[in-house]
Amino acid sequence: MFPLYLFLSSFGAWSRGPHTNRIASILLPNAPLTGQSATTVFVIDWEMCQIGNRALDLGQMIAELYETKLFKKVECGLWIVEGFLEGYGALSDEMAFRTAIHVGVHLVCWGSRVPGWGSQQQIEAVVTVGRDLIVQGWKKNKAWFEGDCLRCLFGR
Amino acid sequence: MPVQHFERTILQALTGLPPYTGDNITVRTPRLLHVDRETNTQVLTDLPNSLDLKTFLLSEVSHGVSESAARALGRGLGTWLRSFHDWAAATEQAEHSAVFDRNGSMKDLKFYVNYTMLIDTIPNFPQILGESHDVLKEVRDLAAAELKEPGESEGYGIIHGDFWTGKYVSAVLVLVQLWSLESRASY
Repeated sequence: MFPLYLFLSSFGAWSRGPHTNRIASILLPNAPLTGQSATTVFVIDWEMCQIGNRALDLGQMIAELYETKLFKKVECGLWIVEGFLEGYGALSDEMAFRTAIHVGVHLVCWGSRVPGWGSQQQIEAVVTVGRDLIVQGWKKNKAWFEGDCLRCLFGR
Repeated sequence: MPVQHFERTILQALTGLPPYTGDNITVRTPRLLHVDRETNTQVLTDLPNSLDLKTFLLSEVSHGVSESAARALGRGLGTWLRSFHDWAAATEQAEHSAVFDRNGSMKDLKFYVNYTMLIDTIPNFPQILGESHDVLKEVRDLAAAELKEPGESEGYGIIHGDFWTGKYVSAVLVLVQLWSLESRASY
C-alpha cells in the first residue's frame, strides 16, 4: 500500500504551449533492483494513446533500451529487452519484422538526436545499426537477424 | 476533443486491467484520484522516490543489476504490455476504441516524429542513409498507410503510443507541436 501524495500532472503536454521536455512512461523506485524485494513499476504518460500498430509500442521500448547498450554499454539494457520479448510472447514473423523496422526508425531519428550522449562516431554507428534494422526488416531477411543482437525478436 | 480527455478516459478505463505481478515485480498504471478541470490538474497515486527507467539504467543505482533481475523486469514489462494490448482489444473495450480512433492529432504526431523525420534525417547522414533512400521512403509510405488501418486488423488496436524509458529535451519537439497546433486550427 503506497502512501497517497499529490502528484501533479499537466494536461495536454503535447497539445499546449511550448513543450521542451518529456516525462518517461516507465517509473520505478530509486533503489537497487535485486529481485529479492518487491518492486512496483508504474506505466504513466498516456497522452499519446491511440489506435495503431502494436509494433510501435514494442519497437519504441526496445529501441530505447538498446540505445543504453549502444551508447553507454549498459549490458542489462539488452537483458531487459530479452525478458521483455519473452514476457510479451512469441511474435509472428510479420510483427517481428515490423518491430525491427520501428526500432531502426527510432534509432535513426532519435538515437541521432539525443543531446550529449555520444561522439559523432558513436552517433553514426547507431544510425548505421538503425539503417540495417530498417533495411533487413523491410527485406524480411530472417537469416540476417540470427546474427544480430535483436535475434530475440524471432525467439532466438 | 482535448488530449486531456483521452488521457483521463484511458486512466479511468485502466482500473479494469489487473496489474502484473511476478518475480517480485509489479507493473501497473496509476489510479486517477481526482481531476480539477479549472487548473487542468490530475491527481494520481504517487510512487515516492521514483525515477524513470532510462535514468535508472544510467545511474549508479543500477550498477550490478544481475541478469536475472534485469530479465525479470523485462518480463514484467512485456507481460504487462501484452495484457494491456489484449485487454484493449477485448469486445467490452469497443467504446474506448471509438474514443481513441478520434485521437487523430496524436496519430499524426507520432507518424511525423518518426517516419517523416526519418526522411528528413537522410541529409544529416548522406553516407550512411543515402543509398537506402528508396527503402526508407517505402517504409514511410507503409507507416502512412497504417494510419488508416482499422483497430480490428491483426496486430492493431489501442496502443500506449509513447512506451519508452526516459526524458530528454529537444527543440524539434517544439517545432512539431507548433505544426500540430497549426494543422488542427486549419480543420
